[in-house]
Amino acid sequence: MAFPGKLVVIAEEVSGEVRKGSLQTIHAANELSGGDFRCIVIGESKEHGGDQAAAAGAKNVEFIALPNASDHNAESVAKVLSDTIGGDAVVLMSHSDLGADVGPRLAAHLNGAYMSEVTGLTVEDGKPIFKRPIYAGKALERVEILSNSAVATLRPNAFPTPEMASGASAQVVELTPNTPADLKSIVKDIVKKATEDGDVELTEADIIVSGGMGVGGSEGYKPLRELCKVLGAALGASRAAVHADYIDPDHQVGQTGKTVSPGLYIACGISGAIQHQAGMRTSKCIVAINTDPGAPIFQLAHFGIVGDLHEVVPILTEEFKKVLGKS
Amino acid sequence: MSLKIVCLLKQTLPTEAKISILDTGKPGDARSKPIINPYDEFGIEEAVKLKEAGKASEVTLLSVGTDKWLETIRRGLAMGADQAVLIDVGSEEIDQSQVAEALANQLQKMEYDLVLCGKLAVDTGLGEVPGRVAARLGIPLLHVAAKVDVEGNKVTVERVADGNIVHVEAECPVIVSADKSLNKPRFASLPNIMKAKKKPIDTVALADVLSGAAQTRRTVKYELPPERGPVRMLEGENDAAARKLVDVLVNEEKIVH
Repeated sequence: MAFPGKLVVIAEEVSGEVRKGSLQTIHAANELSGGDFRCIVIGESKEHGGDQAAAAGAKNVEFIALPNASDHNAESVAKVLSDTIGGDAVVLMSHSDLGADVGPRLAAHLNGAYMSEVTGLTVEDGKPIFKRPIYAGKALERVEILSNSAVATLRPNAFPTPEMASGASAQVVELTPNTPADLKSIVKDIVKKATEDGDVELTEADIIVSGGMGVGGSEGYKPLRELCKVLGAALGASRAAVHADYIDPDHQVGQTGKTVSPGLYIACGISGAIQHQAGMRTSKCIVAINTDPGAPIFQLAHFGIVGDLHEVVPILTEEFKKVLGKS
Repeated sequence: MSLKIVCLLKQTLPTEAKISILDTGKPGDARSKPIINPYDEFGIEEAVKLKEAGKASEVTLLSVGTDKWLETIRRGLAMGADQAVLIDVGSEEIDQSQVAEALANQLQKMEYDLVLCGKLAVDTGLGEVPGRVAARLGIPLLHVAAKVDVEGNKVTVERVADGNIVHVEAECPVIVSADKSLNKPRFASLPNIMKAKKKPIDTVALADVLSGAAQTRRTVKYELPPERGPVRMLEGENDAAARKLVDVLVNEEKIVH
Protein backbone atom coordinates (compact mmCIF):
# COMPACT_ATOMS: atom_id res chain seq x y z
CA MET A 1 0.00 0.00 0.00
CA ALA A 2 1.27 3.42 -0.78
CA PHE A 3 0.58 6.43 1.33
CA PRO A 4 -0.32 9.54 -0.65
CA GLY A 5 2.36 12.10 0.18
CA LYS A 6 5.14 12.18 2.72
CA LEU A 7 4.56 10.43 6.02
CA VAL A 8 6.58 11.30 9.13
CA VAL A 9 6.44 9.72 12.59
CA ILE A 10 7.73 11.57 15.64
CA ALA A 11 8.71 9.05 18.34
CA GLU A 12 9.55 10.00 21.91
CA GLU A 13 12.32 8.27 23.82
CA VAL A 14 12.25 8.84 27.58
CA SER A 15 14.88 7.40 29.95
CA GLY A 16 16.10 4.82 27.43
CA GLU A 17 12.66 3.63 26.36
CA VAL A 18 10.64 4.62 23.32
CA ARG A 19 7.15 5.35 24.59
CA LYS A 20 4.66 2.58 24.05
CA GLY A 21 2.36 5.06 22.31
CA SER A 22 5.24 5.94 19.94
CA LEU A 23 5.88 2.26 19.14
CA GLN A 24 2.18 1.92 18.32
CA THR A 25 2.42 5.02 16.11
CA ILE A 26 5.38 3.50 14.22
CA HIS A 27 3.35 0.32 13.75
CA ALA A 28 0.33 2.27 12.49
CA ALA A 29 2.53 4.16 10.01
CA ASN A 30 3.98 0.88 8.80
CA GLU A 31 0.54 -0.60 8.21
CA LEU A 32 -0.54 2.55 6.41
CA SER A 33 2.44 3.05 4.13
CA GLY A 34 4.09 -0.34 3.79
CA GLY A 35 7.17 1.02 5.51
CA ASP A 36 7.65 4.15 3.44
CA PHE A 37 7.91 6.79 6.15
CA ARG A 38 10.45 8.87 7.96
CA CYS A 39 10.78 8.20 11.70
CA ILE A 40 12.27 11.01 13.78
CA VAL A 41 13.12 9.94 17.31
CA ILE A 42 13.47 12.72 19.87
CA GLY A 43 15.05 12.07 23.23
CA GLU A 44 18.32 11.47 25.04
CA SER A 45 19.77 8.23 23.72
CA LYS A 46 20.45 7.65 20.03
CA GLU A 47 21.31 3.98 20.68
CA HIS A 48 18.23 3.07 22.70
CA GLY A 49 15.82 5.30 20.83
CA GLY A 50 17.06 4.43 17.35
CA ASP A 51 17.29 0.68 17.91
CA GLN A 52 13.85 0.42 19.45
CA ALA A 53 12.28 2.45 16.66
CA ALA A 54 13.93 0.08 14.15
CA ALA A 55 12.84 -3.00 16.11
CA ALA A 56 9.28 -1.66 16.01
CA GLY A 57 9.48 -1.57 12.22
CA ALA A 58 10.83 1.85 11.20
CA LYS A 59 13.26 1.65 8.28
CA ASN A 60 14.37 5.27 7.98
CA VAL A 61 15.29 6.37 11.46
CA GLU A 62 16.63 9.78 12.38
CA PHE A 63 17.49 11.01 15.83
CA ILE A 64 17.41 14.46 17.36
CA ALA A 65 19.04 14.85 20.75
CA LEU A 66 16.45 16.73 22.76
CA PRO A 67 17.38 15.86 26.29
CA ASN A 68 14.84 18.37 27.44
CA ALA A 69 11.99 16.94 25.40
CA SER A 70 10.55 15.47 28.56
CA ASP A 71 10.74 18.92 30.14
CA HIS A 72 7.86 19.68 27.83
CA ASN A 73 9.11 22.88 26.35
CA ALA A 74 6.71 22.40 23.48
CA GLU A 75 7.54 25.79 21.99
CA SER A 76 11.09 24.65 21.31
CA VAL A 77 10.21 21.10 20.25
CA ALA A 78 7.60 22.32 17.73
CA LYS A 79 10.07 24.74 16.11
CA VAL A 80 12.84 22.15 15.87
CA LEU A 81 10.46 19.62 14.34
CA SER A 82 8.95 21.98 11.78
CA ASP A 83 12.45 23.03 10.67
CA THR A 84 13.49 19.39 10.40
CA ILE A 85 10.40 18.27 8.49
CA GLY A 86 10.93 21.23 6.22
CA GLY A 87 7.91 20.93 3.90
CA ASP A 88 4.53 19.36 3.28
CA ALA A 89 3.97 16.16 5.25
CA VAL A 90 1.48 14.17 7.26
CA VAL A 91 2.98 13.88 10.74
CA LEU A 92 1.92 11.23 13.25
CA MET A 93 2.79 11.27 16.93
CA SER A 94 1.45 9.71 20.10
CA HIS A 95 -1.10 11.71 22.07
CA SER A 96 1.24 11.93 25.06
CA ASP A 97 1.39 15.04 27.24
CA LEU A 98 4.14 16.32 24.95
CA GLY A 99 2.26 15.32 21.78
CA ALA A 100 -0.87 17.19 22.89
CA ASP A 101 1.25 20.28 23.55
CA VAL A 102 3.45 20.15 20.44
CA GLY A 103 0.86 18.95 17.89
CA PRO A 104 -1.23 22.11 17.36
CA ARG A 105 1.85 24.36 17.27
CA LEU A 106 3.55 22.07 14.76
CA ALA A 107 0.37 22.08 12.65
CA ALA A 108 0.40 25.89 12.75
CA HIS A 109 4.08 26.01 11.68
CA LEU A 110 3.39 23.58 8.81
CA ASN A 111 0.17 25.41 7.82
CA GLY A 112 -1.65 22.13 8.16
CA ALA A 113 -4.62 20.45 9.75
CA TYR A 114 -4.57 19.07 13.29
CA MET A 115 -6.38 16.03 14.61
CA SER A 116 -5.96 14.75 18.17
CA GLU A 117 -6.66 11.39 19.81
CA VAL A 118 -7.03 9.59 16.50
CA THR A 119 -8.28 6.01 16.91
CA GLY A 120 -8.39 4.85 13.28
CA LEU A 121 -6.28 5.52 10.17
CA THR A 122 -7.06 4.43 6.62
CA VAL A 123 -6.41 5.45 3.06
CA GLU A 124 -9.64 5.71 1.06
CA ASP A 125 -9.76 6.78 -2.60
CA GLY A 126 -6.14 7.84 -2.33
CA LYS A 127 -6.82 10.09 0.67
CA PRO A 128 -5.89 9.53 4.28
CA ILE A 129 -8.94 9.38 6.54
CA PHE A 130 -8.62 9.94 10.29
CA LYS A 131 -11.21 8.50 12.65
CA ARG A 132 -11.44 10.20 16.03
CA PRO A 133 -13.88 10.42 18.95
CA ILE A 134 -15.87 13.59 19.59
CA TYR A 135 -18.16 14.40 22.51
CA ALA A 136 -15.82 12.28 24.63
CA GLY A 137 -16.44 9.17 22.55
CA LYS A 138 -20.23 9.51 22.41
CA ALA A 139 -19.81 10.02 18.65
CA LEU A 140 -17.06 9.60 16.06
CA GLU A 141 -15.96 11.69 13.12
CA ARG A 142 -14.10 10.68 9.97
CA VAL A 143 -11.92 13.52 8.80
CA GLU A 144 -10.15 14.24 5.54
CA ILE A 145 -7.46 16.85 5.20
CA LEU A 146 -7.81 19.77 2.82
CA SER A 147 -4.37 21.31 3.33
CA ASN A 148 -1.02 19.97 2.15
CA SER A 149 0.15 19.10 5.65
CA ALA A 150 -1.40 17.62 8.76
CA VAL A 151 -0.44 16.63 12.27
CA ALA A 152 -2.34 13.81 13.95
CA THR A 153 -1.81 12.53 17.48
CA LEU A 154 -2.79 8.88 17.98
CA ARG A 155 -4.57 7.81 21.15
CA PRO A 156 -2.33 5.44 23.15
CA ASN A 157 -3.54 1.81 22.99
CA ALA A 158 -5.99 2.53 20.15
CA PHE A 159 -3.44 0.88 17.81
CA PRO A 160 -1.64 -2.41 18.48
CA THR A 161 1.83 -2.55 19.99
CA PRO A 162 4.23 -4.11 17.46
CA GLU A 163 6.27 -7.23 18.15
CA MET A 164 9.81 -6.02 18.60
CA ALA A 165 12.17 -7.60 16.04
CA SER A 166 15.22 -8.95 17.83
CA GLY A 167 18.65 -7.68 16.84
CA ALA A 168 17.26 -4.92 14.67
CA SER A 169 19.70 -2.10 14.45
CA ALA A 170 19.03 0.78 12.16
CA GLN A 171 21.38 3.14 10.44
CA VAL A 172 20.32 5.98 12.66
CA VAL A 173 21.07 9.36 11.19
CA GLU A 174 21.67 11.96 13.85
CA LEU A 175 20.33 15.40 13.03
CA THR A 176 21.55 18.52 14.77
CA PRO A 177 19.04 21.25 14.07
CA ASN A 178 19.51 24.64 15.67
CA THR A 179 17.46 25.03 18.78
CA PRO A 180 15.62 28.33 18.86
CA ALA A 181 17.53 30.96 20.79
CA ASP A 182 14.63 33.25 21.58
CA LEU A 183 12.48 30.93 23.68
CA LYS A 184 9.82 32.88 25.46
CA SER A 185 8.83 30.30 28.03
CA ILE A 186 11.23 28.70 30.46
CA VAL A 187 10.83 25.43 32.30
CA LYS A 188 11.89 26.41 35.81
CA ASP A 189 11.86 23.08 37.56
CA ILE A 190 10.43 19.60 37.47
CA VAL A 191 9.35 17.87 40.63
CA LYS A 192 9.50 14.15 39.98
CA LYS A 193 6.45 12.80 41.61
CA ALA A 194 6.92 10.22 44.28
CA THR A 195 4.97 7.28 42.90
CA GLU A 196 3.76 4.40 44.96
CA ASP A 197 5.51 1.12 44.44
CA GLY A 198 4.78 -0.26 40.99
CA ASP A 199 2.48 2.58 39.93
CA VAL A 200 1.71 2.26 36.23
CA GLU A 201 0.75 5.26 34.07
CA LEU A 202 -2.95 5.18 33.26
CA THR A 203 -3.10 6.21 29.60
CA GLU A 204 -0.56 3.65 28.40
CA ALA A 205 -1.59 0.80 30.72
CA ASP A 206 -2.71 -2.55 29.27
CA ILE A 207 -4.87 -3.29 32.29
CA ILE A 208 -6.66 -0.84 34.58
CA VAL A 209 -8.33 -1.65 37.88
CA SER A 210 -10.63 1.21 38.77
CA GLY A 211 -12.59 2.02 41.92
CA GLY A 212 -15.60 4.27 42.50
CA MET A 213 -17.82 5.23 45.42
CA GLY A 214 -18.23 1.54 46.21
CA VAL A 215 -14.70 1.40 47.65
CA GLY A 216 -16.08 3.45 50.56
CA GLY A 217 -12.95 5.46 51.41
CA SER A 218 -9.22 5.79 50.74
CA GLU A 219 -8.55 2.56 52.69
CA GLY A 220 -10.88 0.79 50.28
CA TYR A 221 -8.33 1.15 47.47
CA LYS A 222 -5.94 -1.23 49.25
CA PRO A 223 -7.40 -4.45 47.80
CA LEU A 224 -7.52 -2.78 44.38
CA ARG A 225 -3.82 -1.87 44.64
CA GLU A 226 -3.07 -5.50 45.53
CA LEU A 227 -4.88 -6.65 42.39
CA CYS A 228 -2.99 -4.01 40.36
CA LYS A 229 0.32 -5.43 41.59
CA VAL A 230 -0.54 -8.96 40.53
CA LEU A 231 -1.77 -7.84 37.10
CA GLY A 232 0.81 -5.10 36.50
CA ALA A 233 -2.19 -2.82 36.18
CA ALA A 234 -2.71 0.91 36.68
CA LEU A 235 -5.13 2.20 39.30
CA GLY A 236 -8.09 4.29 38.13
CA ALA A 237 -10.97 6.03 39.88
CA SER A 238 -14.31 7.67 39.17
CA ARG A 239 -14.95 11.39 39.46
CA ALA A 240 -17.24 10.83 42.46
CA ALA A 241 -14.46 9.01 44.33
CA VAL A 242 -11.99 11.80 43.52
CA HIS A 243 -14.48 14.45 44.64
CA ALA A 244 -15.04 12.54 47.88
CA ASP A 245 -11.24 12.76 48.44
CA TYR A 246 -10.87 8.97 48.45
CA ILE A 247 -7.98 9.24 46.00
CA ASP A 248 -5.70 11.67 44.15
CA PRO A 249 -7.18 13.38 41.01
CA ASP A 250 -4.33 11.92 38.89
CA HIS A 251 -6.23 8.63 38.92
CA GLN A 252 -9.49 10.03 37.56
CA VAL A 253 -10.85 8.37 34.45
CA GLY A 254 -13.67 10.12 32.62
CA GLN A 255 -14.69 13.08 30.52
CA THR A 256 -12.92 15.57 32.79
CA GLY A 257 -10.21 13.09 33.75
CA LYS A 258 -8.09 10.79 31.66
CA THR A 259 -9.27 8.95 28.57
CA VAL A 260 -8.06 5.37 28.47
CA SER A 261 -8.31 2.41 26.06
CA PRO A 262 -6.68 -0.52 27.84
CA GLY A 263 -7.07 -4.16 26.83
CA LEU A 264 -8.87 -4.82 30.11
CA TYR A 265 -10.75 -2.40 32.37
CA ILE A 266 -12.02 -3.74 35.69
CA ALA A 267 -14.58 -1.33 37.18
CA CYS A 268 -15.08 -1.97 40.89
CA GLY A 269 -17.92 -0.22 42.71
CA ILE A 270 -18.38 2.19 39.81
CA SER A 271 -21.99 2.85 38.83
CA GLY A 272 -20.97 4.03 35.35
CA ALA A 273 -22.10 7.63 35.03
CA ILE A 274 -22.01 8.90 31.45
CA GLN A 275 -18.95 11.07 32.26
CA HIS A 276 -17.07 7.99 33.42
CA GLN A 277 -18.11 5.95 30.39
CA ALA A 278 -16.76 8.72 28.16
CA GLY A 279 -13.28 8.08 29.53
CA MET A 280 -13.18 4.29 29.26
CA ARG A 281 -15.76 3.08 26.74
CA THR A 282 -13.14 2.22 24.11
CA SER A 283 -11.50 -0.32 26.45
CA LYS A 284 -11.36 -3.66 24.62
CA CYS A 285 -12.75 -5.71 27.49
CA ILE A 286 -14.73 -4.25 30.38
CA VAL A 287 -15.46 -6.10 33.61
CA ALA A 288 -17.91 -4.66 36.13
CA ILE A 289 -18.14 -5.64 39.78
CA ASN A 290 -20.99 -3.93 41.58
CA THR A 291 -23.52 -4.72 44.31
CA ASP A 292 -26.29 -3.05 42.29
CA PRO A 293 -27.43 -5.24 39.39
CA GLY A 294 -29.16 -2.17 37.88
CA ALA A 295 -25.97 -0.09 37.69
CA PRO A 296 -25.49 1.42 34.18
CA ILE A 297 -21.93 0.05 34.04
CA PHE A 298 -23.40 -3.41 33.34
CA GLN A 299 -24.83 -2.11 30.05
CA LEU A 300 -21.33 -1.25 28.90
CA ALA A 301 -19.51 -4.24 30.39
CA HIS A 302 -18.60 -7.48 28.63
CA PHE A 303 -18.47 -9.43 31.88
CA GLY A 304 -20.18 -8.70 35.15
CA ILE A 305 -20.30 -9.90 38.73
CA VAL A 306 -23.01 -8.72 41.09
CA GLY A 307 -21.22 -8.66 44.40
CA ASP A 308 -19.33 -6.63 46.98
CA LEU A 309 -15.93 -5.60 45.64
CA HIS A 310 -14.45 -5.91 49.16
CA GLU A 311 -15.15 -9.63 49.00
CA VAL A 312 -14.75 -10.28 45.27
CA VAL A 313 -11.51 -8.37 44.59
CA PRO A 314 -9.34 -10.20 47.20
CA ILE A 315 -10.57 -13.54 45.80
CA LEU A 316 -9.67 -12.36 42.28
CA THR A 317 -6.19 -11.36 43.49
CA GLU A 318 -5.56 -14.77 45.07
CA GLU A 319 -6.96 -16.63 42.06
CA PHE A 320 -4.87 -14.61 39.55
CA LYS A 321 -1.78 -15.25 41.70
CA LYS A 322 -2.46 -18.98 41.54
CA VAL A 323 -3.29 -19.14 37.84
CA LEU A 324 -0.45 -16.86 36.78
CA GLY A 325 2.01 -18.69 39.02
CA LYS A 326 2.80 -15.66 41.10
CA SER A 327 2.02 -17.12 44.52
CA MET B 1 1.25 46.46 36.78
CA SER B 2 -2.31 45.48 36.32
CA LEU B 3 -3.11 43.04 33.56
CA LYS B 4 -5.67 43.18 30.82
CA ILE B 5 -7.05 39.67 30.43
CA VAL B 6 -8.92 38.16 27.49
CA CYS B 7 -10.78 34.89 28.14
CA LEU B 8 -11.69 32.69 25.19
CA LEU B 9 -15.20 31.28 25.48
CA LYS B 10 -16.77 28.50 23.45
CA GLN B 11 -20.34 27.35 23.81
CA THR B 12 -20.72 23.57 24.02
CA LEU B 13 -23.28 20.97 24.97
CA PRO B 14 -23.18 19.87 28.61
CA THR B 15 -21.03 16.82 29.32
CA GLU B 16 -24.10 14.76 30.29
CA ALA B 17 -25.80 15.38 26.91
CA LYS B 18 -27.15 12.32 25.12
CA ILE B 19 -25.60 12.54 21.67
CA SER B 20 -27.34 11.26 18.56
CA ILE B 21 -26.88 11.97 14.87
CA LEU B 22 -29.47 14.62 14.00
CA ASP B 23 -31.32 15.06 10.71
CA THR B 24 -28.60 17.48 9.64
CA GLY B 25 -26.16 14.54 9.69
CA LYS B 26 -24.33 16.16 12.58
CA PRO B 27 -24.17 14.99 16.17
CA GLY B 28 -26.12 16.90 18.78
CA ASP B 29 -28.74 16.86 21.49
CA ALA B 30 -31.70 19.16 20.88
CA ARG B 31 -32.96 18.80 24.44
CA SER B 32 -29.99 19.96 26.45
CA LYS B 33 -29.21 23.58 27.15
CA PRO B 34 -25.79 24.75 25.99
CA ILE B 35 -23.14 25.74 28.51
CA ILE B 36 -19.78 27.50 28.62
CA ASN B 37 -17.15 24.90 27.67
CA PRO B 38 -16.19 23.71 31.19
CA TYR B 39 -12.45 24.22 30.59
CA ASP B 40 -13.05 27.79 29.35
CA GLU B 41 -15.09 28.36 32.50
CA PHE B 42 -12.00 27.54 34.59
CA GLY B 43 -10.19 30.23 32.61
CA ILE B 44 -12.91 32.81 33.28
CA GLU B 45 -12.96 31.96 36.99
CA GLU B 46 -9.17 32.40 37.18
CA ALA B 47 -9.38 35.76 35.40
CA VAL B 48 -12.07 37.05 37.74
CA LYS B 49 -10.05 35.87 40.74
CA LEU B 50 -7.00 37.76 39.43
CA LYS B 51 -9.12 40.87 39.05
CA GLU B 52 -10.48 40.50 42.57
CA ALA B 53 -6.90 40.13 43.83
CA GLY B 54 -6.00 43.45 42.18
CA LYS B 55 -3.67 41.80 39.66
CA ALA B 56 -5.89 42.42 36.65
CA SER B 57 -7.73 45.56 35.66
CA GLU B 58 -10.06 44.23 33.01
CA VAL B 59 -11.53 40.92 31.84
CA THR B 60 -12.89 40.63 28.29
CA LEU B 61 -14.57 37.52 26.89
CA LEU B 62 -13.84 36.63 23.26
CA SER B 63 -15.88 34.11 21.24
CA VAL B 64 -16.12 32.88 17.68
CA GLY B 65 -19.77 31.86 17.40
CA THR B 66 -23.23 33.03 16.46
CA ASP B 67 -25.96 35.13 18.02
CA LYS B 68 -27.24 31.87 19.56
CA TRP B 69 -24.30 32.13 21.94
CA LEU B 70 -25.35 35.44 23.52
CA GLU B 71 -27.12 33.89 26.49
CA THR B 72 -24.08 31.74 27.27
CA ILE B 73 -21.77 34.74 26.91
CA ARG B 74 -24.00 36.64 29.38
CA ARG B 75 -23.40 33.82 31.86
CA GLY B 76 -19.66 34.44 31.54
CA LEU B 77 -20.26 38.14 32.14
CA ALA B 78 -22.33 37.26 35.21
CA MET B 79 -19.28 35.41 36.61
CA GLY B 80 -17.51 38.77 36.68
CA ALA B 81 -16.08 39.55 33.24
CA ASP B 82 -16.47 43.19 32.21
CA GLN B 83 -17.34 42.96 28.52
CA ALA B 84 -17.39 40.59 25.58
CA VAL B 85 -16.54 40.47 21.89
CA LEU B 86 -18.37 38.03 19.62
CA ILE B 87 -16.92 37.25 16.21
CA ASP B 88 -20.11 36.29 14.41
CA VAL B 89 -19.66 33.49 11.89
CA GLY B 90 -23.32 33.58 10.87
CA SER B 91 -24.09 30.50 8.80
CA GLU B 92 -20.49 30.02 7.67
CA GLU B 93 -18.81 26.68 8.48
CA ILE B 94 -15.24 27.08 9.62
CA ASP B 95 -12.80 24.68 11.25
CA GLN B 96 -10.79 25.18 14.42
CA SER B 97 -7.70 26.37 12.54
CA GLN B 98 -9.82 29.19 11.12
CA VAL B 99 -11.28 29.88 14.56
CA ALA B 100 -7.71 30.24 15.84
CA GLU B 101 -6.83 32.53 12.94
CA ALA B 102 -9.86 34.75 13.61
CA LEU B 103 -9.05 34.86 17.34
CA ALA B 104 -5.42 35.76 16.65
CA ASN B 105 -6.38 38.54 14.26
CA GLN B 106 -8.94 39.95 16.69
CA LEU B 107 -6.47 39.75 19.60
CA GLN B 108 -4.00 41.82 17.58
CA LYS B 109 -6.59 44.59 17.47
CA MET B 110 -7.13 44.44 21.23
CA GLU B 111 -4.97 45.30 24.22
CA TYR B 112 -4.12 42.15 26.18
CA ASP B 113 -1.43 40.87 28.50
CA LEU B 114 -2.85 37.48 29.37
CA VAL B 115 -5.16 35.19 27.39
CA LEU B 116 -6.92 32.51 29.43
CA CYS B 117 -8.76 29.58 27.84
CA GLY B 118 -9.54 25.92 28.34
CA LYS B 119 -7.04 23.20 27.33
CA LEU B 120 -9.71 21.83 24.98
CA ALA B 121 -13.42 22.03 24.24
CA VAL B 122 -15.50 19.07 25.35
CA ASP B 123 -17.36 18.80 22.02
CA THR B 124 -14.54 18.43 19.47
CA GLY B 125 -12.04 17.30 22.10
CA LEU B 126 -9.34 18.73 19.85
CA GLY B 127 -7.25 21.08 22.00
CA GLU B 128 -6.13 22.82 18.83
CA VAL B 129 -6.93 26.48 19.46
CA PRO B 130 -4.52 27.40 22.30
CA GLY B 131 -1.38 26.15 20.53
CA ARG B 132 -2.44 27.55 17.22
CA VAL B 133 -3.24 31.03 18.54
CA ALA B 134 0.10 31.07 20.39
CA ALA B 135 2.07 30.03 17.32
CA ARG B 136 0.20 32.54 15.17
CA LEU B 137 0.81 35.44 17.58
CA GLY B 138 4.34 34.33 18.39
CA ILE B 139 3.66 34.41 22.10
CA PRO B 140 4.24 31.65 24.65
CA LEU B 141 1.54 29.15 25.62
CA LEU B 142 1.60 27.64 29.08
CA HIS B 143 -0.58 24.61 28.39
CA VAL B 144 -2.76 22.58 30.78
CA ALA B 145 -2.26 24.72 33.86
CA ALA B 146 -3.20 23.30 37.25
CA LYS B 147 -2.09 26.49 39.04
CA VAL B 148 -1.44 30.03 37.84
CA ASP B 149 0.68 32.55 39.68
CA VAL B 150 0.98 36.14 38.47
CA GLU B 151 3.67 38.50 39.76
CA GLY B 152 3.61 41.77 37.87
CA ASN B 153 4.43 40.91 34.28
CA LYS B 154 5.54 37.35 34.98
CA VAL B 155 3.23 34.34 34.82
CA THR B 156 4.21 31.00 36.35
CA VAL B 157 2.17 27.92 35.78
CA GLU B 158 2.18 24.53 37.44
CA ARG B 159 1.30 21.64 35.19
CA VAL B 160 1.40 17.88 35.49
CA ALA B 161 3.18 16.11 32.65
CA ASP B 162 3.99 12.40 32.69
CA GLY B 163 3.03 12.40 36.35
CA ASN B 164 5.70 14.99 37.22
CA ILE B 165 4.94 18.48 38.45
CA VAL B 166 6.47 21.02 36.07
CA HIS B 167 6.76 24.77 36.65
CA VAL B 168 6.91 26.87 33.51
CA GLU B 169 7.26 30.62 33.44
CA ALA B 170 6.91 33.32 30.81
CA GLU B 171 6.50 37.06 30.52
CA CYS B 172 3.35 38.72 29.22
CA PRO B 173 1.85 38.66 26.69
CA VAL B 174 1.16 34.97 27.25
CA ILE B 175 -1.60 32.40 26.77
CA VAL B 176 -2.50 30.06 29.61
CA SER B 177 -4.80 27.08 29.03
CA ALA B 178 -6.68 25.67 32.00
CA ASP B 179 -6.88 22.13 33.29
CA LYS B 180 -9.81 21.06 35.46
CA SER B 181 -7.87 21.24 38.72
CA LEU B 182 -7.24 24.99 38.29
CA ASN B 183 -10.22 26.14 40.39
CA LYS B 184 -13.91 25.67 41.13
CA PRO B 185 -15.97 28.09 39.03
CA ARG B 186 -18.47 30.17 40.98
CA PHE B 187 -22.21 30.27 40.55
CA ALA B 188 -23.25 33.76 39.50
CA SER B 189 -25.36 35.59 42.07
CA LEU B 190 -28.70 37.09 41.06
CA PRO B 191 -27.44 40.70 41.30
CA ASN B 192 -24.48 39.76 39.08
CA ILE B 193 -26.81 38.11 36.57
CA MET B 194 -28.81 41.36 36.48
CA LYS B 195 -25.65 43.45 36.10
CA ALA B 196 -24.44 41.22 33.25
CA LYS B 197 -27.46 42.21 31.18
CA LYS B 198 -26.07 45.74 30.95
CA LYS B 199 -22.49 44.80 30.12
CA PRO B 200 -21.41 45.51 26.53
CA ILE B 201 -21.09 42.75 23.92
CA ASP B 202 -19.43 43.97 20.71
CA THR B 203 -20.03 42.03 17.53
CA VAL B 204 -17.35 41.69 14.87
CA ALA B 205 -18.04 40.29 11.40
CA LEU B 206 -16.05 37.15 10.59
CA ALA B 207 -14.90 38.64 7.28
CA ASP B 208 -13.10 41.42 9.18
CA VAL B 209 -10.82 38.96 10.99
CA LEU B 210 -10.56 35.97 8.67
CA SER B 211 -9.16 36.95 5.32
CA GLY B 212 -7.93 34.16 3.15
CA ALA B 213 -7.25 31.47 5.76
CA ALA B 214 -8.59 28.29 4.18
CA GLN B 215 -10.17 25.31 5.86
CA THR B 216 -7.55 22.66 6.72
CA ARG B 217 -9.85 19.69 7.28
CA ARG B 218 -13.38 18.46 6.67
CA THR B 219 -15.48 15.88 8.47
CA VAL B 220 -16.75 13.47 5.82
CA LYS B 221 -18.94 11.48 8.19
CA TYR B 222 -20.27 11.47 11.73
CA GLU B 223 -21.33 8.22 13.35
CA LEU B 224 -22.21 6.73 16.70
CA PRO B 225 -19.90 4.19 18.36
CA PRO B 226 -20.85 0.54 17.76
CA GLU B 227 -23.43 -0.90 20.13
CA ARG B 228 -22.22 -3.28 22.79
CA GLY B 229 -23.56 -6.83 22.92
CA PRO B 230 -25.25 -7.93 26.14
CA VAL B 231 -23.11 -8.35 29.25
CA ARG B 232 -22.23 -11.90 30.31
CA MET B 233 -22.97 -12.18 34.00
CA LEU B 234 -20.85 -14.58 36.02
CA GLU B 235 -23.25 -16.14 38.45
CA GLY B 236 -22.84 -17.91 41.75
CA GLU B 237 -21.32 -17.14 45.13
CA ASN B 238 -18.53 -14.59 45.19
CA ASP B 239 -15.69 -17.11 45.04
CA ALA B 240 -17.27 -19.17 42.26
CA ALA B 241 -17.98 -16.04 40.21
CA ALA B 242 -14.48 -14.67 40.81
CA ARG B 243 -12.84 -17.98 39.82
CA LYS B 244 -14.98 -18.11 36.69
CA LEU B 245 -13.94 -14.56 35.78
CA VAL B 246 -10.24 -15.38 36.15
CA ASP B 247 -10.75 -18.46 33.98
CA VAL B 248 -12.54 -16.43 31.29
CA LEU B 249 -9.94 -13.65 31.22
CA VAL B 250 -6.95 -16.01 31.20
CA ASN B 251 -8.15 -18.98 29.15
CA GLU B 252 -11.02 -17.76 26.94
CA GLU B 253 -10.25 -14.11 26.24
CA LYS B 254 -6.50 -14.57 26.81
CA ILE B 255 -6.22 -10.95 27.94
CA VAL B 256 -4.34 -11.70 31.14
CA HIS B 257 -1.16 -13.72 30.93
